[in-house]
Amino acid sequence: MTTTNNASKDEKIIVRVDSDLEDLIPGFVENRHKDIQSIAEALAQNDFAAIAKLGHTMKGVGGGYGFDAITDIGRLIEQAAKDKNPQKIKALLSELSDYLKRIEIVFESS
Amino acid sequence: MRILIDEDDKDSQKLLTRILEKENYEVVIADDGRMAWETFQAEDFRLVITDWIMPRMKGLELCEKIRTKEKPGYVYIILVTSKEEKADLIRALDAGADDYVTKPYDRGELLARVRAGQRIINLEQTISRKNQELFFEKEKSERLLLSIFPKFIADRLKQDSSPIADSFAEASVLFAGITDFSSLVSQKTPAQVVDLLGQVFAAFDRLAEQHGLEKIKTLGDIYMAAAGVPVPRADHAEAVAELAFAMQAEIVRFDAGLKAPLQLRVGLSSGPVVAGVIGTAKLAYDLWGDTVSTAAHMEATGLAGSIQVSAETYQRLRKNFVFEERGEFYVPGKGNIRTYLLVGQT
Repeated sequence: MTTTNNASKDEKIIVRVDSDLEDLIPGFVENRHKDIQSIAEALAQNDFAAIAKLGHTMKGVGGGYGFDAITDIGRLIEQAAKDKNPQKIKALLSELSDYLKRIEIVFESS
Repeated sequence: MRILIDEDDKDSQKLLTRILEKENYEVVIADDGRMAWETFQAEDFRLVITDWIMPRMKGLELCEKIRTKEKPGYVYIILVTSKEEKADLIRALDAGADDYVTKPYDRGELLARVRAGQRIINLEQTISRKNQELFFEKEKSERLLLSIFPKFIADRLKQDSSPIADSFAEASVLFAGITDFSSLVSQKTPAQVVDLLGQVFAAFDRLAEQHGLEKIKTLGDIYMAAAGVPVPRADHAEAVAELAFAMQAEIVRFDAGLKAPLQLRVGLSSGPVVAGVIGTAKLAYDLWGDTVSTAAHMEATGLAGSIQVSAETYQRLRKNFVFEERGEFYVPGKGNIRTYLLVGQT
């Protein structure tokens, strides 16, 4: 899975997650909503270092839970923060927010 | 196995814990580098997984610290990085990391790398156990060697297997034999005789050690010791005299279950000896020379309960010890020699 750009805005995105992680997923998704908020706040203060760090963490953690798109978006946010590109960061935040709205999680045993 | 995880992101902590605990690893989490270092020092960990970028102490620094810490047992370190740059990996491995994984975590890869670490740790533990066994074996053979040879000689034999034959201008030799030993043998079972001799000789060994003398050997019921070999000492004659008195005091304490008490004949002589280890089989530290045969003769011709010494020993001790003249004996190859009975100290 890469980014969600090509999908229609209403189409559900199926994410397959290891059933061992089921109870951890609500917290994980909640933390990404918090990331969106934190990045928006940091952006308001032009704190690109904080944004790069948040993007970096997102990049490191997404794929491990099965959310490869979050790793991809995290990588792009980290890069955009290093490039000090607020427009790109805003676009990525809305992409992440859209992604989180559309995901439908299917738990599969490993 | 316990694994220390140095990871600051809560979601990554939970993920790692879940993956590893599912495989029955015990996981301890540290939120930052310094906490990881403190936890590592306080507890026993053989496997550490640390993130590259950590607050308060970088993963790299943690690796370096673990490697310089004097702690028994090898610690296997897996560094976690989301940087794919080769230079970082080289730095990490040089800093002491054994392996690395890149984020985001892939469960299969992570577990395979942990298993690889476990194999190394198991190997290291096997080697360390074998080393310990070797150490104990070495200690055992060392003790055995020291029970056969004087330490000084044992050290030389360990370095060089060539024969040892050292001349000593001044030494004293003691022979002690149990009087009427053959009659004791005829009254007791062989096991009883051996048990009694064992106790007597063990007591003599203890006395010889206390007096700083070298036990040379036992020959049947004869106990042989020497002073001034292999390490020379000026008071060698006094030393054998004092051991002789101590042995005479000791022997009367033994109850052989016979009508007559055990009695000891002691013979002493002083002068030059050759001491060493010769031959190639059943090696023993032994003494040779006229002084040795004279001392043996002093014992053989001595009196029960007394200490007979040659003129050579008498000359060296006459100032500080009390003697009685015994008379002259014919010794093959030497002619008549004068002997003395050592009766006390002045």
